[in-house]
Amino acid sequence: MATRRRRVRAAGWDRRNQRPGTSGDSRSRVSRQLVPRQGYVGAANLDDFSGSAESYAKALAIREKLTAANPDDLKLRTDLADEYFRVATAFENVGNFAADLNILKRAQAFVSDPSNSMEDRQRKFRLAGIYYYTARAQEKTGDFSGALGNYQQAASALAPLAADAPAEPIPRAYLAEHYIGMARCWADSADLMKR
Amino acid sequence: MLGRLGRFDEAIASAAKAHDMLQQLSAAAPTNATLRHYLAESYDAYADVYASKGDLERSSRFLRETRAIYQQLAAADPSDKMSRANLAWSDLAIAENLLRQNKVEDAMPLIREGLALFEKKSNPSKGYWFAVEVGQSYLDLGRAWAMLAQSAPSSRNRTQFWQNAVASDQNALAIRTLDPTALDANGHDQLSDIRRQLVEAEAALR
Repeated sequence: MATRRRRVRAAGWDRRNQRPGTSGDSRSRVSRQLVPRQGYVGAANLDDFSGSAESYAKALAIREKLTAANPDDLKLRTDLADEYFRVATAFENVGNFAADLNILKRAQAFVSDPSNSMEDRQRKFRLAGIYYYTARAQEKTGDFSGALGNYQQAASALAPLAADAPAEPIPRAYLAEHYIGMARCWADSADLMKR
Repeated sequence: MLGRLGRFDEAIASAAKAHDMLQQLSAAAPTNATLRHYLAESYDAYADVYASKGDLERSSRFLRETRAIYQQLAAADPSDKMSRANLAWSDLAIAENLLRQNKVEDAMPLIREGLALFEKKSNPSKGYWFAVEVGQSYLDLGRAWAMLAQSAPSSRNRTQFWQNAVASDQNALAIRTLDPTALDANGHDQLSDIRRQLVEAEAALR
């Protein structure tokens, strides 16, 4: 009998290591339950997920409307980009991977839209994050092939950013996470084929 | 696509690349708990790859490295529930390797320890994770009892062990069905595993 195991939640990045100026402060009380992080959001470490995903989804819808109504507000756009990760993570934490993937599709459409005037490095950084989170959701639904492809895309997007800023630990740490995901997909799919 | 999956050399190279990067980063910031988490994940990736290859000894060695990091993190910060959960997952992973090596007596205490950690850190209202974590612990426990039953020296012991296996599998099923999903955190159909194992144990007891 095949046994499956562990690794339920990826650790999030410590806020002290976050580069300044990328996350907004105007977060709702619910949103603060997860530490805001640059581009990516690690899973909550509070073990209190019930109901939070729906609250996050409502907050996201409000933020999307606000951003659409204020297209020149850079801070709102940055906040929205970050919010997608928080909501996706919230759905991941309750095992709702379909909703998780749906949010990530919306995130990709928003981040890829050239009209949002996002700085190129930030755009690439967030796109790598979207690939990574998409891969994680796919992995958790057994789609190792899709997950591997997205981990590889995430690594391809992030590797130049990590190389450009060797003194910054965040891109390198996240890049390492992408490589870990790739290794796991290869291993898990091999395991799958043996069953 | 599957053709390019299951390549162990690439998997190991990928795990090694991640591990080297994280060792450097973690050495430069030894108090950064998140980097320690990531480092533990890199050991875990190695363990996954070697387990898939069938090299369970080497897999377990990496799992023990993983476990040591989570143990240290959990001890340093009692509020760090994620480290406690991952410590428990490490216990189960090592135990599962031991079961695959037919070392049931060695596996049993680890399964019980993992179960206790999961039960302590969570409660049924936590939904998905409680169902996955505690469900997996009882599933492993049921499997261990079944293996003991299969090699039991007397029919009395055999009956008792099968009864324990059924009870564990029933617990696993009751807890896993608290959440409507069927998959575990690796995309595997955990619920089907539980049902299959329970049916086998009940059949053996008849």
